[in-house]
Parts: sequence; C-alpha cells; structure tokens
Amino acid sequence: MPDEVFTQLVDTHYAALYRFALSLARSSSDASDLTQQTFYIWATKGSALRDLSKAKTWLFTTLYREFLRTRRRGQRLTALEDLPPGEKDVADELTSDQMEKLDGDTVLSAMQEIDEVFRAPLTLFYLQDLSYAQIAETLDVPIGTVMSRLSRGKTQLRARLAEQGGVAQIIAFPSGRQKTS
Amino acid sequence: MKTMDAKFLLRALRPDGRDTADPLFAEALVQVGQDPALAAWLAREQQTDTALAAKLAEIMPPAGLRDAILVGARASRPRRAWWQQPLRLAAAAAGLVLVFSLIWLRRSAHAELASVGLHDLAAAHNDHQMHQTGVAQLETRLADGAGKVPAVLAGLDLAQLRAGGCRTITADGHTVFELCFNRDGAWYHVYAARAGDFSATVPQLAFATQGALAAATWADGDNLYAVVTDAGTDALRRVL
Repeated sequence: MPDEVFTQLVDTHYAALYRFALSLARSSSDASDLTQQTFYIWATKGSALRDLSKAKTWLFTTLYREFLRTRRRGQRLTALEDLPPGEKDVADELTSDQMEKLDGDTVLSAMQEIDEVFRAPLTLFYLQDLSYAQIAETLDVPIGTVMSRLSRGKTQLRARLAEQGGVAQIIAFPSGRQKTS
Repeated sequence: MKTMDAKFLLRALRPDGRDTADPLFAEALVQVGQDPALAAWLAREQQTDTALAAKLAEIMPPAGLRDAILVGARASRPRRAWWQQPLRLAAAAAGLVLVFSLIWLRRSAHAELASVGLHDLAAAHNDHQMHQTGVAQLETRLADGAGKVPAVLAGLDLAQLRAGGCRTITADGHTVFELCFNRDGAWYHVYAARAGDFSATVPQLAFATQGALAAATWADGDNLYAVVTDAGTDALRRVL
C-alpha cells in the first residue's frame, strides 16, 4: 500500500480508534498503545485487505480483539446479561441544562464506568462511524445483542451522567433481574 | 409493533440520518409518523445522542500519536519479498544466470569463483523477510554491535543451521544458508556454505560491489561466507 494511502487511512480513523480504545482501556497511554498496535497490525497484515471500504470495520475489530487479547484473564467480561438486582434507571432523557454542563471528559468518564459489554457497542455507536450491523461484526455478536446492549448501555450511561450532575430524576428499576437477548 | 419494541429498535438508529433507509427500522419509523408521543421521544433520544456524540468527539488523541503511528507502522511494515518485486525479480534472474555461469566455468577449471558466485547470489537475494525464529539467537549475536561478524561466525557448524531451520537457497545443487541482521539501522545478509562446494582456492577476504550492494567474502575453516549490504562498503567494513 502506498504511503499516502496509509497516511490517509491513519488520518481518517486514528482519532476515532483512540476514543474507542480510551473508553475500553481507561488510560491514555494504554489507548495510545492499542491504537498504534492496531495500525502496526494493519501495516504488517491488514494492508493485504483488497477491499479498502472494509478497512474501517477491520481496524475497529482488530483494536477490540487486541484489547481483549492483552487484558488479563481475571478481568474478563462480567456475566453481562445479568445486572445486579436493584439496578436503577433514569428517565429516558437528560435535560438540556444537564447536557450543557457536560464536557467530553465527563462523558468519557461516565462511559468508562459502565459495564464493558455495554461500553464497547455504546462507544462505537456514539463515534457514529459504524452502523449497528457493523458494530455487531466488529464485536462478533449478533445484531439483536448489539441492539440490546445499546439500549441498556444508554440507560446506564445516562444514569451515570445524571449521578454526576446530581440532579437526575432517578426511578427505581423493577425488582428482579432483567434478561437481554 | 409495540411502542416499547419500536423504542428498542430506534435506540440503535444513528441520529445523523444514515440509517433511516435501513429496512430494519422501516416499520418503527412508520410508527413514529403515526404516534406523536413516540415521535417526541425519538426527537429527544436523537438530540441526546447527537449531544453525547459531540461530547465524545471533543476527546482528542495525544499530540504526537499520529506521527508515532505513521513512523512506527512504516518502520515495521515488512518489505516485500524480492520475488514479489519486478525489478528485484529481474535482478535475481540475472544474478542466478551469472551464478550458474560461474559454476559452469569452475567446472571448466577456472578457480576462485566462489566469492564472486556467492556475491552475486547474495545480491540477487538481498531483499526478503527478515526474521527466523530457529536461528534467532545467532542473528541476535550478529546484530550485537560489539562483535565482528567473522568472529561471531567462527567455528559455525552448518549442520546446526540446518537443524535450526535456517533459510537456505540452492545453487548448482549445493546448499547455501542465509542469515540476516540489523546494525545501526542497516541490514546485512550473511551467506554461508561449505567451501568445498564452490572452490578449491578461497581468498582470505575480498570485497566487491554491484550497484548499490557491497559484498565481502572470506573463508573460515571448512566454510565460505559472504556478507552483503545495501548500506555501502564503509558500513560493510565496520562489521568485519
């Protein structure tokens, strides 16, 4: 692949990949490492990909796999589809006042606090680069699962943001555990 | 479709409109058009999503990350194998023709051909994948700036290279082992063979150049060696 094409690929995707990595890894240095490692893998393997239109999904998929690979086993995914009883939900929307008070770091911080299984699809959703189907392909999960995780992830994120804002209208979640697809 | 089901689907709808033509959302979007409450909910949902996406976009990568990616990836990208490059392929073909010509000449009692033959063979094979796990330790020692290459190779047992899975090339039915190392940013390629396979009389140390390539050959015991680099004769002399 010519250098200028590779440079264009980096310029187009490295910021979004870094944000995705930062939401997963929770540290800037780890996120930088993950982003660099992703492009390193592209440079050594991915450049053989003939269809460059699939490069974006390939890069996000590779970054996510690298994150899973490098993470210690002890930090494996929690059994996700089981939220602890007593989980609380907030009203569907944040107020405009609340939204105005938020900055990028606050949103990222809240996103980093939610369950990882929700965090990955939710970050990809808010990066807006990938459709729900591409998110499913990237994370190697069924489309229905992505939709479920987006729905619940949004609820968790807004709950965290509302907690940080301190003005949330908290409503009790129905008792018992909730299953997702 | 129940309102709850429509909401479930519409939460996956990106607010920038790119997904509105997706058939998966068609029924839910029709329902939005018929249900003012659902439409109001979707408007709020997408407003929030847009705002959160914008907040997330405020996160900027560290300064220097882009350059680090470009430099690092460029440096680590494998060079294409010589047989994948038309010019290299032509050079290889020419080199091999020369090698076999020289070997044929040797059979005609023209001596002192091994060094030239190895040199041309090395030049033809100058560019290829670098790392070999089976002989990594030897390649690491070669890369160590403290040791001269002939000293590192002294007493080398070619059988051990074979056992270690060292890459080989074949010339006139004879095996030539190939090792690669990097010193100070320059790549060097070592070729080792049984001296008896190539010439009865071998020079102590001879230098030659061919285009951008510099080569040196020498004999040590039963072995004949050539080391080739595209970093120039001065760089070559520094490792000998």
